[in-house]
Amino acid sequence: MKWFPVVGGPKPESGVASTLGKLAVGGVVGLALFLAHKTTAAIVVWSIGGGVAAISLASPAARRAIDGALARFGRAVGTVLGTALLSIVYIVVVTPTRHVRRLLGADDLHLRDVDRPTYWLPSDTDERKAKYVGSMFATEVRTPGNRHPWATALVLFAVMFLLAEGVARTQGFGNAVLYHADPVVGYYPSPNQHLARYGGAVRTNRYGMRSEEIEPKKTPGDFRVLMLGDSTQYGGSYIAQENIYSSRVAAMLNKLGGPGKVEVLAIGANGWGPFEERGYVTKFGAFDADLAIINLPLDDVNRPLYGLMDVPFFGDLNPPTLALEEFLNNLTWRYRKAHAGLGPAWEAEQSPLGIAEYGRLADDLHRTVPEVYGAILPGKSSGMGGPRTDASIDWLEPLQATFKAHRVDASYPQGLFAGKGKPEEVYYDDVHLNPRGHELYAEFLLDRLVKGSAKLRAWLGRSGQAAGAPPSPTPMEHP
Amino acid sequence: MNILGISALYHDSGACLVRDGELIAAAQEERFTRKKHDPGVPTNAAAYCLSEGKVGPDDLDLVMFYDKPITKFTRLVTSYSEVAPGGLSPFLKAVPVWLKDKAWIAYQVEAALGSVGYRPKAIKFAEHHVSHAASAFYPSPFNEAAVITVDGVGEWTTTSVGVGEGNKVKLILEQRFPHSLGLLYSAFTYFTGFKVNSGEYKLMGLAPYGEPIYADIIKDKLIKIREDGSFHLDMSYFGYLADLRMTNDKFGELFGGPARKPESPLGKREMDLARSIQVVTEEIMMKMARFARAVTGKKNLCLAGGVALNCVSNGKLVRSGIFDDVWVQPAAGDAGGSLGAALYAWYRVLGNKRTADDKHDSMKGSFLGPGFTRDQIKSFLDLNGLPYDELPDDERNKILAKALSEEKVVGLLQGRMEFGPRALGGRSIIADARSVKMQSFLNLATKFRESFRPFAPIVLKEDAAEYFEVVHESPYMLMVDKVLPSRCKVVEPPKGGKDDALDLKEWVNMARSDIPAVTHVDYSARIQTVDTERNPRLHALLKAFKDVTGYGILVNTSFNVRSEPIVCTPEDAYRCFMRTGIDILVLDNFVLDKKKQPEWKESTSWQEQFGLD
Repeated sequence: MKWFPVVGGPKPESGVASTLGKLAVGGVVGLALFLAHKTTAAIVVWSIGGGVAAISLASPAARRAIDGALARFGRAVGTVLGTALLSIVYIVVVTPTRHVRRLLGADDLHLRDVDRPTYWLPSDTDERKAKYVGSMFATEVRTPGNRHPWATALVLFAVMFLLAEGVARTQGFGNAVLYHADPVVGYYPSPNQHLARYGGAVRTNRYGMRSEEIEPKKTPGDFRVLMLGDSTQYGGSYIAQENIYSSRVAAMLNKLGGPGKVEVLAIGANGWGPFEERGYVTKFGAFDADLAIINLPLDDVNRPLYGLMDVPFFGDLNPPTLALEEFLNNLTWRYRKAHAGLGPAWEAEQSPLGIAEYGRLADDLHRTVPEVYGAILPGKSSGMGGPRTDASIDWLEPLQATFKAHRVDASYPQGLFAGKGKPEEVYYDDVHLNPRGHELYAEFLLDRLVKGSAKLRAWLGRSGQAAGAPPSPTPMEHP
Repeated sequence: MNILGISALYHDSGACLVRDGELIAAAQEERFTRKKHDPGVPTNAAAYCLSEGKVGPDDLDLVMFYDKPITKFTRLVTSYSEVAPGGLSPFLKAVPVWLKDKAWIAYQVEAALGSVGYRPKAIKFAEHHVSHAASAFYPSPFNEAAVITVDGVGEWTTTSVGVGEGNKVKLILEQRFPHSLGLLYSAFTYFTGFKVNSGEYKLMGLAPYGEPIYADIIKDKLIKIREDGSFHLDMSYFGYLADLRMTNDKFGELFGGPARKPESPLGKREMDLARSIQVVTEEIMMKMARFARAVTGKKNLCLAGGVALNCVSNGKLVRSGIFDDVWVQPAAGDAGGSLGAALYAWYRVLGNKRTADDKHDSMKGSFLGPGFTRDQIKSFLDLNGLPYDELPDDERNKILAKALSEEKVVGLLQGRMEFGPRALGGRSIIADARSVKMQSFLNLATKFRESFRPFAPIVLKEDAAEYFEVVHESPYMLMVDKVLPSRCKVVEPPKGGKDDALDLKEWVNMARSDIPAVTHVDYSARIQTVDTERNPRLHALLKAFKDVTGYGILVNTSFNVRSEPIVCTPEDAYRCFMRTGIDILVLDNFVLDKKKQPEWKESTSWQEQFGLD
């Protein structure tokens, strides 16, 4: 029997909104995977989303069950994430706030003023309470304790700022690798830096190379290898100097024996492409190198001539004072990059220019360097033996053709790392290598040089494969 | 002008409709949802109030919420920032609820009202203790009065002293969280194994069994009390700042061990603790009252807030003579905040004139809830094939009086439902106060609750002085007085004294007066005086009983079983009637005899339906 007006419950749903919701979620997740070149995963997600949506539309009972399960899943995920986030807030914000306020003598809860003659406090005026009846905040009477809220806020801000600076410094910010702006090169790592970030040492010589100190001309009897590359060669600050593949190749070559010392000159920087590499050779020459290797992942072909103003790095004339400067600079650069509007059309126009520049770089090198090699580092998927999903993969063949036309022996060792470790052990991300990846890639390059370089073999005094050289990695793709 | 007051999201949510300053309707949400102390947005209660007032969908001029939610949230965060990194666990529990629900109360209220077809023109917010103070002063009989509000906590305020004059009510002084008499009492409620925000009245009922042996320890260690009634808690003994518990291990060490587990046997320690905290509470209330009198200069006092439901303390306050007259809001807890917020808007915010005659309050006997027509009840009975007798009041009362005199238990639903925690004859179980077995029978066989709990008398107002040492009328069952010594006989506690093996049932069942069912072990009684003005039908029933027995007094207890909200509809009443030891059900003029009813079958275990309170 109905005794009272019926109180409305949730309105019955046709299921259309719920279905569209599922399609939207599946569509967006699938699209994200597709854009990340996870085509198979995207198709799977789209299929699941479509199937679930169809079932949801066809059967109200199934819809309720699916919605219930999704809600439970969502709640569980939300609870876990919320708990984690709130815990961080509690520890990072609330707890320090407590200590600061205690230091400032705050006692909002009147826990410590036990000796007051009376514990009554004045209430705010009746007029103010009535005036602000529309507000969800209670009015507060002005007391000595809350008369200077801005001062308290300022101190709190200062403390939070210092805390954030400290946390950022523990994460490696604030001791940035500096770069030198140069009209010919664009930019290159500032010379003579010695610093440590993320636990890895970074040293540059007087030419900005992440290598040992050198002279412009090599000592007679020595062998000199010039490596030109980008961030994959530079290795990032998270790889210690001795672990990057250029350092490893130098160490391994020196162990092979020879009439003198082997020097590997590694010049490269985050964000570099063919224009910066050629600019560097134009400015400094090839340093009397016996052979040169152009190292790159495929997407270097679409890099224009960046200036230092286009990358999130600090110039050596005005280094950052605070870790937070570096952090914020990085954030804003990411934002600007995301809004730069560099789409497929730009890439289609830029990449042929980059490939042509590689040809010119090879020509420049050939003028003074007897042998020039190319080493195209495969992306994570193809490097680990999976499908070739490297960014700019469509430009592989034109690039290889250009290298061949310019007498560069270039490799693209697809599957090089297959079976030699988990992908996350080998790769830091989709293109950069972890220490293990650097180790493996150094072995690969050594093998290539020993097998492929007549000049190196001659210097070593060997006609065939060098004794003690590591076995040849397989499979390899040569042009 | 239609103003809807709303209280919600903590405990005992409620709604109240005020039209041009008149209380039209008020109800607690629990009565509709059948969920005790329901804290949810009171959609059902609001829908009822608006329906009772015949308010059109676009005629709801203002919704007043009874507190300031964002300040509550800031208090929460400030409190945690006092104890961090401790307090992470309650922080993680509380903040998501705030972010998800409580911070969006305006939208929730709007959505709830929208779901029943109402479009409020505005939503505003009164401060929690302003709402309590308004609920205490505006419906009171007084033109001017001192006002004291005491509860657990509102936004920051836990206790306030203020003054009401004409159409204004203002707070003068306050005490702030965590220093709270309500929370101190709740801490002992928790420690003695009862449920916080629910079991406080049990603790009060347990107090007469004990001795105040811990009172000095409480005052020495837990709370510093100033002569002006202000106080300061030593928070190192309490858990509610940094934990999900009310008390901590240090508190337990003070009182000889950990908290009593719920439903485990009650021992002497719990009884002594109950008595001790009651004594301390009374001391504070008395000092606060003297201070309020001095500060305001007013001769009358209005009380509200959860602690104002402590009728033992109220009775002592009245007898103290500090004030000439004392009026306590019958819905003194949070539900009554809805009423206060609505009246505050009408009188203080909108500036409307208020009239009072210093004699009559405007609570309408607190019968502000749903009532049912003869046709509605008859339809229900006929539809379900339930046998009944339809009798005019006189004849009905005669039959009931006779049955009551024969120790029959009567479930009584008549007129509109009460607003507030007390059943005042609209939704009551009544029985013969002279019966020696009645207290035990009602506790154990009818209401299925703890054996120690006392029952309250309803007494003809004009006869009250024949039974009790009354100095004041008590129409809302909010004052405790002593049974006249001439009616009492000295009874010692059962053999073994007040030790841990004490048999409370045996003690309770000892007849200590000629109205044993309503005489507590300390010879006190929580009295409801019944007059012809507020409650003429109940008055007539008492008169009829007096005609048969010579006693104008009956047992009155709420019409429910343990943990169940008081019945609201005839259907609720019939269900409770058939589930319990009630012999006769009265639905206005329809009388139902249990023996004539069809066999009662239930598919679910109703004892488990309501859980423990």
